[in-house]
Amino acid sequence: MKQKILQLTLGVVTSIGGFLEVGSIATSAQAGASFAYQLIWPVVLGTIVLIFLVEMSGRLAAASKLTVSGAMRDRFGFDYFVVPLVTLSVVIYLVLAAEVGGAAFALQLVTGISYRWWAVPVALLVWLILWAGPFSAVERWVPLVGLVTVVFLVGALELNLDWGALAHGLIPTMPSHDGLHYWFLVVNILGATIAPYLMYFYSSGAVEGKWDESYIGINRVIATIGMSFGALLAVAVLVVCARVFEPAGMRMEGYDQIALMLTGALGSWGFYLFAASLFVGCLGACLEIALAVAYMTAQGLGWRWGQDEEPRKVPRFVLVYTVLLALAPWLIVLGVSPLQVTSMSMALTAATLPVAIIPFIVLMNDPVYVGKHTNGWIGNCVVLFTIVMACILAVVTIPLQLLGGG
Amino acid sequence: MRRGRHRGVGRGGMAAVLAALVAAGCSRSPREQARMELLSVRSWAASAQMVGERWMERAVPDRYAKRALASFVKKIESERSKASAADLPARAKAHIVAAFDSTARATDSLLRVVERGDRAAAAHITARLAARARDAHSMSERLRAK
Repeated sequence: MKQKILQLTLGVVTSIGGFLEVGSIATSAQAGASFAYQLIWPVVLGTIVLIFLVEMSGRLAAASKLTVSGAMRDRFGFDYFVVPLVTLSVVIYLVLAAEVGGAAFALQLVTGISYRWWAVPVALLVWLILWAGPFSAVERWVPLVGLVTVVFLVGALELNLDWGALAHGLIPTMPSHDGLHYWFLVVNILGATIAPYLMYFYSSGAVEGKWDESYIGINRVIATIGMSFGALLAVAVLVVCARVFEPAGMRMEGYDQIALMLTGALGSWGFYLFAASLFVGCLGACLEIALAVAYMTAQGLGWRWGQDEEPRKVPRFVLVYTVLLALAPWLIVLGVSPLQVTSMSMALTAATLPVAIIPFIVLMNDPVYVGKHTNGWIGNCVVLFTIVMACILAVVTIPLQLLGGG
Repeated sequence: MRRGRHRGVGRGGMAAVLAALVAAGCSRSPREQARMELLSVRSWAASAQMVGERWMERAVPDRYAKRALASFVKKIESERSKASAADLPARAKAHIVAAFDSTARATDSLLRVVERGDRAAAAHITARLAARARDAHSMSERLRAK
């Protein structure tokens, strides 16, 4: 039982690395600054969907001992699997570049040295952690260090919140102004929240943790608490920005502006704690993304894999994250704005959601994989709703990126 | 096989039509574009003002304030260039370009004051930036009311 409760850290690490990262911080900040509390609903909607999908990934792993990638390859064959592998790898590369940019920017805030100089050291640090540390160490340390991100919640509670307006933000409403930007942010929030790599990472973590069917109950708790924790922090970021930036009419067009969010409530502590939170969130996400791509590629191609294995025993698995981390910093080094990379990557994540989510409806209803633990009608309705929503997002994302991004 | 391909083209075509409808439905009128430019002026003026105020309170380090203000000046100048090239009503465009110019000048003055470490002078400039932000806001509200 103690082991199972400790597995809760998998949910929290997935949440910190995959939820409160540069995409969530940036999109929540932009949403709060431009529309106050009005865009809380996509965060909540995305979180509900994510809880269901993450729970399904864990259930699939516990029942079949297969990861999402492994089951996808097994069920649909390599010809189908190569489509999500290639599509998601390209998008995930951009997300990783954005995370490296976020961590590098956090270091710029503290040191005054340009983020462009920090991108390569950040990628190297991530590689060293992955090379030297087993999965259990990543699981243990990321949630512990990630607790610094609770500062966003403290910052929100320090401000005089309008609880009525906050509750009203849970209900979807049409924008009173700047509709293009509103819908652009909705798409980006959903893209930042329902990140497919979370499912791949979580199911691989469950297989690494040797989950069996006895974990199916605790899996629900892990998915719900872990993702809700991340969502609470993302809403806190939105709320702080709604209170600090929206009344002044500030629109978030760079991390220089976002860095001010906690300074009103917490003074210079707020500045440095923001930098620490950004760094930790992005570092966690870099670890998670690099591992997710390595897991997905190795499982799909039938290579030996495992973060708990010695690197020399899983050379091709190590090669995947090594190549990915070697390529990740260059967009930032070349001077592309980290916030631009973030916006672009979140929009493209939203555009590729159908490829990642459609297989769930088949896998989670196939007794060959999940035995008696097939989806109930609620789970199937959520997946169907998500597929429809993902298809709409895939169509509207690019026009909104072009027209509403500014 | 052939039927499958036709279905694929149909779905692609429908997606393109839907995307085009979204784009067309969301395009901005010149007046709305002018209002957006004024909101941009307001945002940059308020951003520079907030950096100045936090620097005066010693809530942000000097190196951050200098780097942020220098980047704001560049971005304001870039926005000003875009506005002067945009298809906007002539009178509104003149107002907008002038507003960007004065905000860029005030932000640049604040940067120099931060470099000198002169907190008393910074208070004067942040008040000027606050006035720029208010002016841009009231102009944008007037455009919205029209």
